[in-house]
Amino acid sequence: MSKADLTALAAQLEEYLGDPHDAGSRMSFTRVLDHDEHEEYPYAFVSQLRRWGVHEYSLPAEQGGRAGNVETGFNLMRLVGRRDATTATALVITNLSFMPLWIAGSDEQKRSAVEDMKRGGGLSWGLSERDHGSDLLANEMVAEKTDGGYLLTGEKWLIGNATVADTMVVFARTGKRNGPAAYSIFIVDKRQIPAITAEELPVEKLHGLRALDLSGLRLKGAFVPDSARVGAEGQGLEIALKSTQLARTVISSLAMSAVDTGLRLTLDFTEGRVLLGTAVSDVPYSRRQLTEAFADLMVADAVSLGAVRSLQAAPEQLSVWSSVVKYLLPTLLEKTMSQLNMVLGARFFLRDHPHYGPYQKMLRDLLVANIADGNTVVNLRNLGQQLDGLLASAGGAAPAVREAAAERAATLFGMDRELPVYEPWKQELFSRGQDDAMLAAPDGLSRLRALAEEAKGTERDRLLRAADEAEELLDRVGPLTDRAAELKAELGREYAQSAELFELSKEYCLLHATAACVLTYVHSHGVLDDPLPSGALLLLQIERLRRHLYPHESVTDPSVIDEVMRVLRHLHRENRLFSHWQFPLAERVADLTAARL
Amino acid sequence: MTSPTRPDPTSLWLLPEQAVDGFAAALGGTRLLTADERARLERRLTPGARRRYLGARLLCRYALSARTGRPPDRWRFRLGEHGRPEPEPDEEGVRFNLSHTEGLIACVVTQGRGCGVDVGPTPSTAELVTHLGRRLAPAERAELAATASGARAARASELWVLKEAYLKARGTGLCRSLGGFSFLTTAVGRIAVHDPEQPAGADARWWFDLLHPGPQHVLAVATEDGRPGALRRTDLSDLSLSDISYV
Repeated sequence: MSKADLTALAAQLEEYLGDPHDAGSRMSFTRVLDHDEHEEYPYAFVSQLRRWGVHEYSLPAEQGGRAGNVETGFNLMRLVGRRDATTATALVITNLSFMPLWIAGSDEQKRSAVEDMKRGGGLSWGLSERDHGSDLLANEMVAEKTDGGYLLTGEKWLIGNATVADTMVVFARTGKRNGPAAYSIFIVDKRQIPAITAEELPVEKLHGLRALDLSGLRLKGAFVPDSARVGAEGQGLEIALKSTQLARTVISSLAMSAVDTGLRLTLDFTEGRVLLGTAVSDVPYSRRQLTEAFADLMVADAVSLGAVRSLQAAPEQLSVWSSVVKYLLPTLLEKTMSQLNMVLGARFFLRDHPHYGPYQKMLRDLLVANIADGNTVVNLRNLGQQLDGLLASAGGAAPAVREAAAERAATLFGMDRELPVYEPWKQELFSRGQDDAMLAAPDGLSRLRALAEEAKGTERDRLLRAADEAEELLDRVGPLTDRAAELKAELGREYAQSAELFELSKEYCLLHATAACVLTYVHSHGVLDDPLPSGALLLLQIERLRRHLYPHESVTDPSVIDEVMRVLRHLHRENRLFSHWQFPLAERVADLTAARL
Repeated sequence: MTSPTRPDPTSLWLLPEQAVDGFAAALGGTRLLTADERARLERRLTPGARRRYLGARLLCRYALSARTGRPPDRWRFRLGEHGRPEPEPDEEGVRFNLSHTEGLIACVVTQGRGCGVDVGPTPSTAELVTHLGRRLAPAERAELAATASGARAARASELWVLKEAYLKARGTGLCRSLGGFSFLTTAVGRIAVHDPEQPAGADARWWFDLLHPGPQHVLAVATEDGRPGALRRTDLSDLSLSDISYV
């Protein structure tokens, strides 16, 4: 789907959902907050989004869905999520629960599930268990072979949609001896199993996403036919891990949407409130806070642009892209939101403020992105296991390898480039040192400098400075490699579990993000709408990443901040998503009197 | 990385005076200073003068370490012919220069190229405008006289820091008469020096950047073999409050 087509589709969904501040719109903040306060599952929102067909953009066209590119469904979900992360999560869970089928299911299994979902059926993904968290190899639900099928016994806990969805895809042990090949995946249609063999667990009370159905399912000898098994017996772990990769890649949309709304609400306040004759937006300190939050969001946008596109353009590297995005974005954006709290002041703490009430909900909801589908520790460990190979190739790949990566990077970060068809079975669990963002970074820097030379005046200077600062950060690959080697020599077998390795992995994520910002700029600058691209914004993005390593140093001056504020103001006034995509949002029709309270 | 890096940027580090206490606390107070520097610090009469001296001594170590990777506690300095400090031993071939005024401390670092920095208040006081007016080169005096009266004091400040930065970069300090060389702004906006004491062609090797880091300060950087866009400015905040934006 071209950028123009995706923009048009996004605009249609926005128009359908309406201005969330308008109490009469289809998904108003008033009703969203009401569901949250009363912890009531948002059936009505889910239903009207299904009627529109939003979930079909994440289901395969071959079996009756409308999915072309993953980024279509991903971006539509951002528009839902900017109103209500709970509804977005409820919808996303159904789509993510379909992933095991998409990866390894038969044509009949896929077709039947898609038909069911198009008729309003929901799916849940029964992966985790109460006592085992992220440790899949310790899972206890068993599937005993019997005539014509399996008998499932065990409990799945903290499962989204477990109660409201009729069907759960479960991960259960089929092998006698424990190990990676001991697990398989089954489709459990709760309408088809003997009533006495299944029982839903209570819906948990949550800090955020209060209206979500996060519950579980207990099975006791529940019979499922052989046709309910997804893929081969013993293939379960691989399928589950590949499914999780997609989940990790797309879930950060919730955090991005939360900060989009958080920043938009904050700007409603700072643009309207005048202190000593100056709009709060124009108080230098507030202005810096606002533009930094915007730059953080644009860093997240660039990183997720590449990560979501890597599902199709570099599926063999997904283990890296999915873990980088899953660790970095939620942790980064939690800090961003904290920074915005201070600008919005006491309003951020009020649950029923007529205009700012949604802010506190976003603040709570965005935390889910950190813990769901593999938490920070799991993802940093995954990167740590691959770090030696990643650093070795980032620092010393052959020119031909870099050239091939640079070519792929043009697709990964080129918003208008055609993507290969999504074939999730091509995803791999280890990337063998390949990370196109890092491998293509030198090419990206050369292109950035060439673009700078074509620019004039301050824009030229800012782009050159951004290239210099980005290069300096990316040059940390060398010292990072040395530190990893020293640590390995010092710790021996303890290295793989050491706290220091987690820190090295965090730093690697910052370098990947730096490369993503540069590559997004150089490969998408031509298709961005005014007021993008912006050298000032790119420089501030790099500064924000640099701050994690040099927290007391700033490489932007007030003129850079002023220019980024101009860009941010434009997007706010023109009512665009804070993103490189700049989707046009529903027209703001609600009276803004409440924003001045 | 395999991409070509632009050669030898001119690094300019700025430390606001209000951030010195936190900056110093994070770097161990006076721990990095030599005994001689500590003695000099004690001889400063006012708290402000002591703060700026300490900030400058720490800032140059921080900036030199950032450029070279040499740990901040391993910097020692010798004084050049006209009292200009240079790294000792000069292992990495870096040059640096410091300047401070009330409210701001600046340090410039290059790889072996002559460099000077001067920061001063703006606009100049009436006394300084009068004082300068008598000591400038004739062309500069004419320029200042032709400047609108409202902008004259600000222009005087610019000329003052340019002259200081140039002399500091040359290593001669204020031993020379300020009227012995002059500045002009070319048609394309480049700041150029005309120094009759220099051999033919030498003037063109000097590059000048003029900055206004805040409403009350003006700052000039002079670099030998400089070029447009080579100046990399980094602003330091209070190290001890580095994470304040996330609180």
